[in-house]
Amino acid sequence: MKRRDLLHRALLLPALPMGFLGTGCTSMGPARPDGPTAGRRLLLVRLTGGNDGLSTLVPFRDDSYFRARPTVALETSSLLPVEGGDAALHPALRQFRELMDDGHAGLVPRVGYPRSSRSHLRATEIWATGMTTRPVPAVGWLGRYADGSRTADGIVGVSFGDDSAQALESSTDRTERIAHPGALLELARTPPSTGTPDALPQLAFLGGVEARLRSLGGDFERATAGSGSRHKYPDTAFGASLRWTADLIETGSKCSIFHASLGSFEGGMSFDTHLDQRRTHDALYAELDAALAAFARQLIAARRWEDTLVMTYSDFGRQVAENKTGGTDHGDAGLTFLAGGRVLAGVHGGPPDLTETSAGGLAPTVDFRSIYGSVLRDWLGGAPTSRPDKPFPDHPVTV
Amino acid sequence: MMQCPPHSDSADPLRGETTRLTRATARHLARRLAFSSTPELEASLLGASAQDALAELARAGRTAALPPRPAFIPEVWVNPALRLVSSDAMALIESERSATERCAVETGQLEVLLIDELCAGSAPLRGTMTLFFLSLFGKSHRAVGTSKAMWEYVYLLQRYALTSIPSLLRALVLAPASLIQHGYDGGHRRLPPRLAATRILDHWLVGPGQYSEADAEALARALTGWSLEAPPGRSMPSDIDPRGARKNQRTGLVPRFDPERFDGREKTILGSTGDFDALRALDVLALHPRCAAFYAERLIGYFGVVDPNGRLLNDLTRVYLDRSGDVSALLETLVCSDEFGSTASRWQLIKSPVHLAVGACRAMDVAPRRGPNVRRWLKACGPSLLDAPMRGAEPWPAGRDWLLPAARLAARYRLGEALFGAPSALGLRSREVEAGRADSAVVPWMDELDADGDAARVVDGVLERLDPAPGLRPTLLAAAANGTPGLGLARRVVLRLFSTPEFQLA
Repeated sequence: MKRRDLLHRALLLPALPMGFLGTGCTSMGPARPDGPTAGRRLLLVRLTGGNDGLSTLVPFRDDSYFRARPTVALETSSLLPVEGGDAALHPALRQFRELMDDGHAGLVPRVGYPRSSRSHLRATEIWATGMTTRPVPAVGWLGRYADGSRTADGIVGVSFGDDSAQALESSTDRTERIAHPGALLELARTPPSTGTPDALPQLAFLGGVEARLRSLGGDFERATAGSGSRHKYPDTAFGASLRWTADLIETGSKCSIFHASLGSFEGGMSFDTHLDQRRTHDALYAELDAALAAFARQLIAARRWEDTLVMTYSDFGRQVAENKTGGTDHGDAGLTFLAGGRVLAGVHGGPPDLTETSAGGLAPTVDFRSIYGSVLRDWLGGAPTSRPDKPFPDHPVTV
Repeated sequence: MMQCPPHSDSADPLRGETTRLTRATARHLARRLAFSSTPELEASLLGASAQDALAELARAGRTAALPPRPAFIPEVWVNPALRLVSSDAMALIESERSATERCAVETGQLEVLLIDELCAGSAPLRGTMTLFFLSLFGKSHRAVGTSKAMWEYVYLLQRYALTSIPSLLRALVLAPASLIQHGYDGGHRRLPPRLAATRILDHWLVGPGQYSEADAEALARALTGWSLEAPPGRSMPSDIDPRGARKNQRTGLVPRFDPERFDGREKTILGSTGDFDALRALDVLALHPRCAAFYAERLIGYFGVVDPNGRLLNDLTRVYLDRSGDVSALLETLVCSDEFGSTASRWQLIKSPVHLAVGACRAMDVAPRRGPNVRRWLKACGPSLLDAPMRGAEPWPAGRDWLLPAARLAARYRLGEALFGAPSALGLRSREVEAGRADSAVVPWMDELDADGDAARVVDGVLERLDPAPGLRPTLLAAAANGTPGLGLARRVVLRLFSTPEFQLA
């Protein structure tokens, strides 16, 4: 049986026991070091700006798609059919489609939450924390997982890039944001300098920070021996993030959670495609496709793909109808990419009814906290750390 | 001028010293007020009283010419994103994008000029206080959107840095960058700019939790009536689209008051009642005791003074009120306090990235020469000078928060690459650090040390010059002599010193 066939079975399963996620999506501690989920890794990818799921997985058999998007709609002949036949992938996602065909990738359309926010800032907070209520916690959903870590000392989560990855914000220094791996390597390669760190309180503090970075820098040093250079990662910050992640996994880093971002508001392109959407998507999807393909190849070759799960999130989806500037405006439900050796492959659900919109956006059919719950429990093997106020049924994404 | 009282803390190693500056106290003062000590500065401070030293630094700050307007900043700003009824939507969006990119580039140039001024200018105390105010209410070019407004803002900070805090606030409240960033440009009595009032109370006046909702609402009403317009006499298109956002309707950067838009009713803010407009509200609030305490607390934090009993806080608050927020009086009180000179306050300030870079440049007597490199390095270590956190909605970090995330320490250690122009380890894509290609421009004191050739003496010379916190093992620096071929020994030792915790402190 192919993995994607398992999907249909899994989705037919009765709802799994609830109990660890709520309106306040509380978290779980990491797996026991000797448990069945030990050694598993999660790479969370942010598609910055609000990805248009209807351009990723195009409902090309639905005339209303073309009516709503007279200039933004993709030509049917260019699309990449996927199993089921009612929708097809963006033409730049060729290698991702191959991963799907091989049972190593999936897509979950219409992921979101009720009364979705269309503010980038607020939506990002919600996706990062798993909380729709205020006040917004400082700790992200994976940061809470890291805080409960009992598998190892030191840092268990790394996010790449200048932007703060709120999903990994922790309260116990178990995660770190790395924008400059070269600087970290240099630090790890030079011997400590402080002779009497306790002589001054601030020297003791800085010495502690340096020691922590040295430990993580050691992981990065080992990662330079990874095989990433033999794979064709895009020569971009996102490509570098995935290459570092793969090298770290391949060379046995104890870090179990990683975060990378594709697209930026600080210059360059983002998925906030109010303008010139097709050109932007061509570039961003090509970058995503190339990076994910290289990542998969490297970890398959290194025999770590079975232990790796890649999952994307984005601020929100976009409205069904195009705007007047060759793009689409903020909408509601979006789409989640999945990849990995044990992923439930294929498309998780049928195409949306484009006539059923609310203020132009698509209503969600999968609550994102259902996916988070599945990842935390089934993939990362955490234990509940607090009772939920309002549980959500799991949406399984792995076998 | 008042005389500093002798230090009276019996546990303080300064006890018994007169008020004349010794080498240790002169260096301490220089690190805090002038970024770092230099041989020339130290020579001028030795034997002087603390207040004479401060007065001299302040005099230099007041008499040094302000940097002129750069050629790329126009005298009169013309809005490239003005939306007319006849505007094409796509063309307008393209104009906005182009204007945003231009603003980012020009603001970067402004940052480089500011860095150069701080590193090589003759007014380090003015620079220190400019950065103090920038750290409290910095602006972000991404929110302001025009380099002309950003330049005017920095100019005002420099101009008023050593005058009085109320006069600075009065100038800032009508600065175009303030009106744009806080959103009270075009403020109307029907929709008072509440968010602007909150930010001004939080960051300029009293701090979070020190005012009521009613105070914020009243200040919001006081902020109404002002808008940024074209200079008088300049003709403007008659078909400006009223449906456009404010940024698409702004015809210039000259503040103009429109009584029709102003809420002239009586307002009570922090206990004071009147029909305040923005200027009068700031005049009153800037002299409020809570505002005095706000600035007293922030000065203590900015200058890294340990004040265990709150005595300095009380003294500064009192002086602020007695001397109407006079900056020189506040600095004199601070510098002459027992707390400033105490052992606990020495080496307890984690330098901000700009303090670190500027202090190093001044101590080494090298202008950065590669301003863009330094700017890039600053960005890696924290918020950019003219791009305050959260698009200017938050103040700069302080103290240990400069190391959030902790990996910023690793970036700080690469300062030498920025200053000497070596290929940088910064950047996500850089895998290989290429050391040893730093330039070897003439730096006389380094070249003299290199000519000596004795590793121990080179290390001693570098430590003497760059003044790190105690605790560093000279043997470790001497080991740097074995690495980085192609560079002079003194430069190698300096590069190694930059990557130590000891150099992070002042």
